[in-house]
Amino acid sequence: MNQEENDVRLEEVLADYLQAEESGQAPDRKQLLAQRPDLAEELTTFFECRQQVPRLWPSGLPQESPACIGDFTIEETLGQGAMGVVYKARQKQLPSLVVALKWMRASQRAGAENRSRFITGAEALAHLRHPNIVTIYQAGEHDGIFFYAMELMEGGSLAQRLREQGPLPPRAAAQLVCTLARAMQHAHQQHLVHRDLKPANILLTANGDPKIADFDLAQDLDGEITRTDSGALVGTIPYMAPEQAAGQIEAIGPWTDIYALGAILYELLTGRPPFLGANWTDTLEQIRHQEPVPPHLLNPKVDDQLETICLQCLQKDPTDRLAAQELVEDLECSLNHLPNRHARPPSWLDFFKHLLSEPRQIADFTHQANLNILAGFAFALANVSVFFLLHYRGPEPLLWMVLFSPYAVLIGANLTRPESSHSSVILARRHLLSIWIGHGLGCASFITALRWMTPDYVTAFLMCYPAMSVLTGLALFAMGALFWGRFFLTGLVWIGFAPVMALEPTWAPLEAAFLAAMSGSLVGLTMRRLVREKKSEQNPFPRA
Amino acid sequence: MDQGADQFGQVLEKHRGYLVALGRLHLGRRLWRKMDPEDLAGDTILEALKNRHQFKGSGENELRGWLRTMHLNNFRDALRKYWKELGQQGLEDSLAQSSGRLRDSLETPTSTPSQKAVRNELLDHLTRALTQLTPEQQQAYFLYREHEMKLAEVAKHLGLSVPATAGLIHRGLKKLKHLLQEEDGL
Repeated sequence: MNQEENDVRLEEVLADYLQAEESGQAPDRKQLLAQRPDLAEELTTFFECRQQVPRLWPSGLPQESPACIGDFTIEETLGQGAMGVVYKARQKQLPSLVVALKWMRASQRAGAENRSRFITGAEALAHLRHPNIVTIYQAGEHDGIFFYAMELMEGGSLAQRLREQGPLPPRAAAQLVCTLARAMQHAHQQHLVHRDLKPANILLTANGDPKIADFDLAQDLDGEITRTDSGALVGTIPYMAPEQAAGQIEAIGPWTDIYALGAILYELLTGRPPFLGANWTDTLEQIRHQEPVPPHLLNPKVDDQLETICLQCLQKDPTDRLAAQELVEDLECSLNHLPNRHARPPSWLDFFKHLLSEPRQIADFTHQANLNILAGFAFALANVSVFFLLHYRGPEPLLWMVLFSPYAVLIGANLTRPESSHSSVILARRHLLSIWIGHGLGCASFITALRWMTPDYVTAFLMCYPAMSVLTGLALFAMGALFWGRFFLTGLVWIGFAPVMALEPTWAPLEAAFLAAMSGSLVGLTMRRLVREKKSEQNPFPRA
Repeated sequence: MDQGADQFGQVLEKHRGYLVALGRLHLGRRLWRKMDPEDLAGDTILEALKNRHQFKGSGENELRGWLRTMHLNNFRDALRKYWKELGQQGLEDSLAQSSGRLRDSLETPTSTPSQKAVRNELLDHLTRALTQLTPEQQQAYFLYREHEMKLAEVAKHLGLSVPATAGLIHRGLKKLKHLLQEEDGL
């Protein structure tokens, strides 16, 4: 099928989907993807883009507060957020019942089915009786806007408490998260996922007991992130799980809540969320690809056991996280001074697996992939030329020039990249530049030293190859730590080749050329494949 | 005009597309045909040129911030004037929508300075990314996403078939996502 036909089909499928969605009968996305494997990649992109491109104004709420909503008389406004307004209200028939009434924004296009889904969701929540989950009394629709009435909590939120009092002692933090995890275990057993757990959604009673509020009812209304106004952005992003940060709605599940509980525990212990970048895209990027700073470095009072539990909840791969029940059991063990039953610090095997496979600072990956291939071939070409120049005893200045010209390519390619505000990219580029400038200077100084020791320049150049090979190996090792574990392996090959080059120095330049071309293109091509796979990843989570 | 003004004028011209997109983003959908965001952008550029000595900052970002505030204030004035002229002709909801958006962008009453900064950053990213879409993609994006028109209505407005409009929205979103990520060097 040619591209044009494919585009036409995609447009038709999208139009059908969007119109069905408007009338409240959108097919299940997974089903749609399964039905149209030919368009699956583009459709996934569409859903991802829709989820990830932020909207500034989700939907308007009326300017004036109404006098009453449903069976409730409005008394005062308690707060206003991205998702709507919260009022203090009193039930008409039972005036002693004072509630917090939340009026929620929803898309104007939300169809009938979505409305009923909201009501059903709220009803499910209303049945979710648990001492640590805020009780929902009633849900409904008033003037086309959804509302629900919930228990009024008078002790503020955990976010407020954190702001005012800072981190908790580790034991108190463990106790608090254990209570929350028990509540979430109950919700998960009823097949309810919160999806937006954060300190601002943990409300406190007048006695300070925590209760979970704001189960994400609105998410289903139009399947888009609508909470993009300032407060919500500042509040929500740091607690998003990697699958949410990547916009993979289908991959969201109970494990997403576990991640958020881990992030809350982290903040209770250290006073800051696990990831906090210079801006929101930076934070999202960190959530997806970086490891959190171990809590004990930020608060030395945090013990190994609690740190292991916390970090296990913050695993990037949902299958590596604990289940709510496991989290409860481990926190109880920690409180009773017993060893963890589920959370384990990573073993050596995990460590090596992680070290070799995990790409770090993926932000610069696409650029890195092509640069690797380019640099590999530039060094290969230079070394082949050096081989012939040495063989025919070409002029010495030319040898220097040829051998060091690839550095100019490598450094130039990095310097000419447009300026970026992304801190990890700036850092990545700085690391790469320092590694290769250091490598170049090291090689040059070694040849100069040999040149002083041996009268013949050809011998000096040939003798420096084993050392250059070791230096390249070291440079690749440094890149392994910074960018991608596979560099360790290529580094090892280079170091292994040093004695071979010393055995028969005449062939060393050709061996170096071969290694440069092989390692550059192997790493570059695998990186490219990795980036492509990341883009087309649909549902990598077997538990979903 | 002196040379400094000429240079400043050239710098300001680069931001014209940004100001137009900013205007469209804030304009309620039914006002779209009544008020011309391009005229308003032109007015702001002239005003900025006149008041160029008041700009104390340096660098692109500060200039854009200065222009944004000036443009949104001008926009609000134009809206008020329009409101007065209009009387009772049934565009109130659209006017209220625009005013609400302007209030969000200019005042953000409940937010702290850092929250305001995050919002401004988001507004800025989105607006700048929008300027790089084709005019059709821009229109489809505004009408469908920010103004929540139904797909068939957007198609009618643009004079296109419904599938073509869906395709336009898809390509626009794809490009926006790419641009928003590019902006941060991703």
